[in-house]
Amino acid sequence: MTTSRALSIVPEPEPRPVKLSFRGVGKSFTTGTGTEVAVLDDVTFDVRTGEFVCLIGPSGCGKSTILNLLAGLERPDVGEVALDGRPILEPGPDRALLFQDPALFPWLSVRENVEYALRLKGLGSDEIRDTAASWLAKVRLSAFADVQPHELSGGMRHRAALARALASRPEVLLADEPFGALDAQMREILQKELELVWTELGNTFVFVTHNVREAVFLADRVIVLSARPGTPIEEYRISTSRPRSFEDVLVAKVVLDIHEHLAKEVRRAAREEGL
Amino acid sequence: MALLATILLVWWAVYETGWIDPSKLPSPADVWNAFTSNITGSSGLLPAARGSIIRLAFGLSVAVVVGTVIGFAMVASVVVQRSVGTLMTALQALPSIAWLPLAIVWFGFTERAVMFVVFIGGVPAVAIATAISIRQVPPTLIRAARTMGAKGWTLQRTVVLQACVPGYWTGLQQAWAVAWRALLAAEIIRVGAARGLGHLLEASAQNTAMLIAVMGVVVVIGLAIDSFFSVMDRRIRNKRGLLVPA
Repeated sequence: MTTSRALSIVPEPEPRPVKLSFRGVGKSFTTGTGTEVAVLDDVTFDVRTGEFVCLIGPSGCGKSTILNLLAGLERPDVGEVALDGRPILEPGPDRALLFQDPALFPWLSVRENVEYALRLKGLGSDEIRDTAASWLAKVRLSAFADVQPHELSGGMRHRAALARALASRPEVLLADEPFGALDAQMREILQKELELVWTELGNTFVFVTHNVREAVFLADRVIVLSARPGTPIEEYRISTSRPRSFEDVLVAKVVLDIHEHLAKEVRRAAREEGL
Repeated sequence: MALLATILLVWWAVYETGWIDPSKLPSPADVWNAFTSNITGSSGLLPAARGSIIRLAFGLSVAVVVGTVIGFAMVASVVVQRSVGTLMTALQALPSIAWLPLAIVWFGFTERAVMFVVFIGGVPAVAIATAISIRQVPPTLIRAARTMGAKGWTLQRTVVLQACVPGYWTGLQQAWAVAWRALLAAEIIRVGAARGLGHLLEASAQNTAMLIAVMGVVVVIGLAIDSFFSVMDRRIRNKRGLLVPA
């Protein structure tokens, strides 16, 4: 990582404890044809408690792999991925992961989907019912509690998935381009909702996207990753107050900056591949 | 319904013209009489239908249990998939009736021979459908459940066993049809002690009216079982949004 630029004169708040940490993490995969591909190389960064971090980078730079490592779905080849200083070895209810596909269970109603995570936590049936109902109300799906997921619109499915992910009160919310498949309007609406929910809960949030505007709109900090093998090359702290507007000069400036940086990185990677 | 009426009408018209010897093509009325006067009694349709259905239920149940276990094993182990899985595919290529001569050599003209043929007909369909339906469980659903803390048996029970239901049910639907045909074929050549519809078919070879009545009963039972499976299938798919609107 090269520099960390402060983009406003607001003094930085007292640093909160580190929630998630990557220490020299490397990860490769073997492709179907047997070649080994390094996806991540020497990735080191921290995410502090309650911080909203966006990871951004060219496609194939290992953004999703970083989330899978944080979720505990995969293990690093080298280095360490830790939560509260303890290595992450497997998935757990303390971390929720949102996917591009809402991944709702089609055999359960919307309410039962939200209740699913609560049941896994072993809560009592009254508490499960009440918690699910209050989360469905938060994402404005109370009227759709008893329908099946396929009867919902795309945006509603994402809200249901958000309710399911957050109902079990995870300390960390991980999101892998959760709105990638939606149209621009729906995307903006959901971004705003997500921001509201995050403001209310104060979860630690790691959000992967390739949409620079989305990243700058949502994040406290944007980490730019290099092309494959991915490693952090730049970091932007965005201290513009929320809710943000894309018309804000600082926001617009950072968006441009990141775009430029990414374009340079993509060109560099293309040159190296001899394209 | 209109089709059925047309068939009956044509049949009756052909009979009335007298082109075909009534011993070869009886009138619809004769068939109806044969049906109504042979419902009960030791060689009646009802006991025969009951006998066949019990055989089907028993043989198919065993096939479903064994086929499901084999299907799970095929998913769990590459070795089982390569050996038993290949065997299942091979068995599916073989009409189960082809097992009948061997079954008779092994078990004689006994109930066990009938059961064996029903079983061997149903097992591959169930095993292959089980394995395919489990493999086709969307990985995103498993990942979602895992990130919510589901693992081991809980993960299997709450996600895999739910997600695989539509494919599995299709397998059962195929299995019963295969098993039903195998059962009747075995009964026709007088395998098995108790009376079944196949036995009745064979015993009525000289009485075409009765022959057609038995065939009708076989068809009606088949349609009834099939509509049960279809109704359940629609329900399963409808709930999951897998039903293409008609």
